[in-house]
Amino acid sequence: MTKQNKKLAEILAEKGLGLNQRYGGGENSDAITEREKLPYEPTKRAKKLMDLYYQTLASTSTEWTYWYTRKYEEMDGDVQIVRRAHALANAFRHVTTSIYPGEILVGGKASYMRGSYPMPWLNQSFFAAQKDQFSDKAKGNAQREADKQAVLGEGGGNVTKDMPGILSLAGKFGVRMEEVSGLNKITDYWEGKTVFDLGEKYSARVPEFKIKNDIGRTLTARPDSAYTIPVGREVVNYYYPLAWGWDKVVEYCDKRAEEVAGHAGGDGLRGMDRLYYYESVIILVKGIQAWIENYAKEARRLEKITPDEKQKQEFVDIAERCQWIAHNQPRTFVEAAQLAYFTHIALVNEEVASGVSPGRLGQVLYPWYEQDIAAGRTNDHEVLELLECMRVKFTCMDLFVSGSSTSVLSGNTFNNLTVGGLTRDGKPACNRLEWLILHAAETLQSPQPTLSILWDEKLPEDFVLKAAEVVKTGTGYPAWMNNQVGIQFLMKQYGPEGMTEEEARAIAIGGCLETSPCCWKELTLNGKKYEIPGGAGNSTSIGVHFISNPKILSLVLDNGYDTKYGFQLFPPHNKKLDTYEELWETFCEYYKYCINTLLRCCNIQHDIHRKFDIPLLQSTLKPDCLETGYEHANMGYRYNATYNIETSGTINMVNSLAALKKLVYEEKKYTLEEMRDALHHNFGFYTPAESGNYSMGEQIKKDHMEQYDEIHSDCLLAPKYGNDEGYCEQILKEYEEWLCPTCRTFESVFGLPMYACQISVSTQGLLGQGCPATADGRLEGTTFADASMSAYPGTDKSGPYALFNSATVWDHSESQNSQMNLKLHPTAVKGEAGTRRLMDLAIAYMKKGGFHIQFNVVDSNLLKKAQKNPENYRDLMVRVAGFTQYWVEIGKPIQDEVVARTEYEGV
Amino acid sequence: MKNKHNDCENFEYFDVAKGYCVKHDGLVPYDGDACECFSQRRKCKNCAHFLNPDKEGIGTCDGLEDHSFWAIAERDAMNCEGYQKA
Repeated sequence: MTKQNKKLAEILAEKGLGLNQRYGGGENSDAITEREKLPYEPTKRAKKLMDLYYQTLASTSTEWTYWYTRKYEEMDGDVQIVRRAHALANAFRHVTTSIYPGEILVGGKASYMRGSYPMPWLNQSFFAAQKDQFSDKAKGNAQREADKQAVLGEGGGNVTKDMPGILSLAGKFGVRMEEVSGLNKITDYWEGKTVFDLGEKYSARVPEFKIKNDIGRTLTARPDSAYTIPVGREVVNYYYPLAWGWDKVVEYCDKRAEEVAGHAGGDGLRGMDRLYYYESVIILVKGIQAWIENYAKEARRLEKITPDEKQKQEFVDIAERCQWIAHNQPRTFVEAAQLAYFTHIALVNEEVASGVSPGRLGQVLYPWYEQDIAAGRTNDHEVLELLECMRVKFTCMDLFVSGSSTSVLSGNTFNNLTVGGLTRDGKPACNRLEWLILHAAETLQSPQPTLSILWDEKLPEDFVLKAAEVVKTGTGYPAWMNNQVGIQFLMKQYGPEGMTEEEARAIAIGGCLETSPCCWKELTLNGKKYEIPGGAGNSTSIGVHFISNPKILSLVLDNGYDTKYGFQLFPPHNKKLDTYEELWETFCEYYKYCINTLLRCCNIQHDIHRKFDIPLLQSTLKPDCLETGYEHANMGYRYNATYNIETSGTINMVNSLAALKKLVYEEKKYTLEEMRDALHHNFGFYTPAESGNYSMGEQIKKDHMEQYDEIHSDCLLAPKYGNDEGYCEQILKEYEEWLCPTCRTFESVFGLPMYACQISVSTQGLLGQGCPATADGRLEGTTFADASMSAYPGTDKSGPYALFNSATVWDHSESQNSQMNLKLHPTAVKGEAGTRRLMDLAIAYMKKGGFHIQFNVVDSNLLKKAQKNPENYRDLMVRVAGFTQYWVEIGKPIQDEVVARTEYEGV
Repeated sequence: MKNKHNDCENFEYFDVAKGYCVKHDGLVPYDGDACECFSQRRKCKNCAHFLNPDKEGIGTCDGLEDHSFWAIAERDAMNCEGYQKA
């Protein structure tokens, strides 16, 4: 390998398929165009807090873990749900409650500003495998402390290397060395007792169990749904604490416990469980109340210490506020916001959770906003300041997961706040508070909460224009979701569980892009009634995680043999694949085999999880659990058919099928054997394992491998999705019209039909690494096209409207979602006219039936500069796929993929 | 041994390398030497119920309902109802 060896980027450029294509503008240049600077600045208070955030490291601790484990062990022998309630309550009561001067909203997942906890009761294979290494490091570090140099500044707040007194975990989190001995004791306790341990033990009875694990290690799919992030991608329901106050929740459960004790209620399977459920809720809520009161206590303590008189008063206000909302319905907007935030933190602390989303929080908190403004208790400036502070707090939320999960999520926590949509009776639901939420996202730019606009034709234009203006700042949100398409999906999927069109209008987005079932609840504040939306469904994006579509096709071509990892992965199909139809049918069979293999094991995992790690707070807040006394495992949520089947790499699969159809089956220019040979030899390129680089443009051509040049060229130039030419679009249509109904034939752990979920998060990177070269010309190990409807970089050459036509050949309401990312050069959306163009572009796609579109507004030259000098770009954010993340905290293959996306200079 | 910032009540945990000093309104190193305003923080190692720590800092806590459970010396005890200054 020498510098003379050509790279893929050069070869593609020679063929007019260069990565980072520009459409609709002038000639390429190296000049950098900055994003349009809007005349907005954050408030002083929020800016100070955000500046603090930029100095914080991702920090983990065993504090929660210790207190949970201690009580869990003590309560051995009790009914499991009660035992778990005690353990959770004990953790809540004892965790250290830090408050920083200048905060209005207080609270956090951990004692650290950007903190998280490992939760080994779910899965601790990571810790168990590295226990000895941790101990050695803890001992050694004490001796080498004076010699170690701190390595900071790599990847934003990520702790990627050990430092004096600090151990790096999972490539991202720091933990204090003095905690290691305790961590090891905790690991010892949970050995054999985790959801992972039990899940693997019992799913080993599935005949394809080994294949399930092989699917995982070969990156053919993410194999285990319940071991990583079993909760989330759902919408919070804040109703009960906001409407009743926590004391009334306890009183209600006390009353119900007495009513149900000893009665089966006509339900011989679940009826008796109701008593234990209500007892558990009482225990848990009292623990949460103690936690909130600890913040009050801490504020009172700090008031005595701090010398600043203004700050003293703020601590007094915080103490009084926390003391009140620990028990009662909030009285003011700031109290309501604080209680909602505490509730949110409590939810993300009770389980390893990502994508626990605030939903339509602007509509939820509106009653307090409206009444405070009317009474003169606050004004828009103060509300804006509070919303900015809320953005900082949400951004501080972190999630402790393994390295591979972190690479899928790119470290994101997906707190999705939805604006827009309709009211129950079909009127526009946006309000002034939502306008302020949008504005706060312009003044205080941060990854969280991410925003989504439920676009509907009924929304007022000035609100929609405001959303477009926010997008221009470059944060990548709000994402645009098609309200009517989402409503149609909800009615199709949840109609059997009673979903009506009126209830479907409560729709909000969980996680990055998960259409979630919600409901309306009537709330009374000072005698006035309001209807507020909130989550009513179980977690989504669990069931079967991310199947690598291109990899399945690869397995079809090689009779089930995994050429990258060198063994027989799937049972051989032994078909000749003489026709395209036979190829397609075999693909479908292998796909169903993959789903079935994963699902049988994942259903067992989820069954173990629901029996042991009950999401009890979710089961308190979600209708209709409190009223019925049935929690998560007993299908107490109003909507339970939420488990789904996720896919990845759709467009590479479509393009590959198109290449095979055209070159092998129609033109017969190559035999299938010749195609296989070219793929097995990676079209004459070094593999990423050989070159040490997974980035698509950096792949290096081998010497003396010209025999694959022509076939590679033909594969690259074969029809490509995104140009509205019909060829690939027909294949996409056929795939979707097969996939969506097929997913519904599979049943979840709840015995309910599943459905297709078509997003990528960052799986285009991880799963791309496990996939050999594909017939569309993609090389081994490189990323797939992002999202599910985005074109592969460099192949969408006909403009955005052609892309939209390509994407909407199928009915998007048949799937939970579809996902489209578009990268816009800042010049394309400059000025007020540019804002309108952006709005019109998004609406054009929605009107064609597209479900989702999101935008990166950025000059790729800026991104390339940021790659070279990351230390100068700490606060640069980009939209990856359904989420916004700091550039410096994204792995390089994904960075390269974002750079490579076609850049639209004219729309 | 000198008192450290993280042993002080004026210290709010910030991250694994730093804390926030409420008294002086700024970030301080986690392991830095405390100043003259030092006020001892409630930690297990400072509690009368924390017994027999080994060289890794693991001892026994007998201050709570479970009567006896392992604990680590550096565990924060600001919200522990059983804390009793040694």
